[in-house]
Amino acid sequence: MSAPLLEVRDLSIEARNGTAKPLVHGVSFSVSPGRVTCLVGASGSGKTLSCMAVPGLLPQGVRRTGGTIAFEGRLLNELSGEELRELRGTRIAMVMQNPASCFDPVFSIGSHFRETLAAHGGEGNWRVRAEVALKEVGLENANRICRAYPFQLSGGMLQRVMLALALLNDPALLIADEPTTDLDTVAQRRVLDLIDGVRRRRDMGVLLVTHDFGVVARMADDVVVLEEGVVVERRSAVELFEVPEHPISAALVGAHRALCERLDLSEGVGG
Amino acid sequence: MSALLSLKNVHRRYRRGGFFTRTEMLHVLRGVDLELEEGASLGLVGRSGCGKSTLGRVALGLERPDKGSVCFRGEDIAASDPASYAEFRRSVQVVFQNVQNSVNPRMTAGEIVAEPMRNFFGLSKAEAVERSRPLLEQVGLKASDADKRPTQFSGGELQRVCIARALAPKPRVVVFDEAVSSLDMLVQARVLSLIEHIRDEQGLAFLFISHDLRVVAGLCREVALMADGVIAARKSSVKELVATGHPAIGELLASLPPAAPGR
Repeated sequence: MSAPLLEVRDLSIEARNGTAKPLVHGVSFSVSPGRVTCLVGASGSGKTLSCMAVPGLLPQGVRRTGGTIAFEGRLLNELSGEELRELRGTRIAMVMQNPASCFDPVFSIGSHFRETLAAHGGEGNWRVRAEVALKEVGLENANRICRAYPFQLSGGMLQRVMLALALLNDPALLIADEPTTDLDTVAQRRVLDLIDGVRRRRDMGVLLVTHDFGVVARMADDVVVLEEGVVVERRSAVELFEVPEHPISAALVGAHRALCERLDLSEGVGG
Repeated sequence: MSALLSLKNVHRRYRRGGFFTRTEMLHVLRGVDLELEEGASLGLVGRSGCGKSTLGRVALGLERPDKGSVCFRGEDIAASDPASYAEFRRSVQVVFQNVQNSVNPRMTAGEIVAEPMRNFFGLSKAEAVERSRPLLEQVGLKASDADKRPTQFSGGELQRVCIARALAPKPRVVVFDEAVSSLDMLVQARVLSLIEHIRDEQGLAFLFISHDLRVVAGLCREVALMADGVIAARKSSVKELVATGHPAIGELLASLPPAAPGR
């Protein structure tokens, strides 16, 4: 296996004014090129905070109090805000849960492409770049989409446009925080297939946050299970589904299994 | 005997665009016929944007159909007198997906659950809040939770508060509109078993709207498929719905994520 692209060690995150226990404590995980690491856990387990700490985007009132974040041989936790900004949108890209809130409603989709390319060393004509990027995520009619405003597109389409924007500069690492939670299963499958295809073609590492074990089963190579800000289990996805060791992992895998078993389609229909 | 709730040839259009752009009409419901009997548990599946939620809102009387009618116990709700309209509003309750948006953050859980009882039974506030306590216990919360406010609950707990509110006016039908879709898996499993429990205990009729076939499968005795603004098929299980070979159900089925990793 190749050397990890991203290596997070002993990450701790605390609320600035908090005297209570840390929100994230001693969390370690890594992402290798061309592989998918999933952070899973119940709501409030610290999975989103852990992944937001990587590109230095922790929300206000919360700070990293310990640990190191190594990416492509550099320690991200020692970089200045300016240097981190350089990395975001070029080497590290992000996709969020709620596509509607990631677009500026008064700008067309085309303006978002133009702005992204202007901010991150865009070369060439933005229209051409946008068309190529949109095609990669399966959106053929680039002209119409660039003219449209965010509210005119469906959630699934916006999520794909967001992915196209994220992939513009050929990032080495994609951070995806619940990218399909707001989508129906059909749109979810399409977005996951797209991420998987890009990962394979470009050997891109993916850090995926999700609470849905269906998404884990579909995507993950390695899984890190979080509970109350602490890693309780770290396994390959195959092993985790076969023999979950920690009670929390077992409960999560069990709930997923039970959900899948509700749909009994034996006697070979469909599929 | 007539059905508890029935939609007859219901059409609903929305205007989209305007102001800066050309307006266009979205014809969301294109002649929906749907009957819900007493005690029925009907799952309604379909893709996002197929009109499931619009159908739910029309059935609840929150929106009027442009054409066609909604009948409660055989009587058209658009033509019913105030007393029977109030009876309809009491008897048909709803639980939405977005729990944070469906409660008033300034009210306590007790006040939230008490509100429909004050409206429909004319109880005093104090009386209604007292009656909310056993309802909260029924959905797996504590009686003392009546004094807490929405921000003090997790998403799953708040969804239980919403279920208690829906049950408070003793309805005959509850519409669940993607009610478990945004909950994490353990919480979702718990809320689903609560809904199953209520179904068996109270003999309520359900309309359970979801895009996830797995959720609907164990819960509903009947499943209807919505596509292109109409009910494309109605069968007694997801399996039979799949056997119809309708492309929309094939698409939903093929999109389900795997049960275990296998690459």
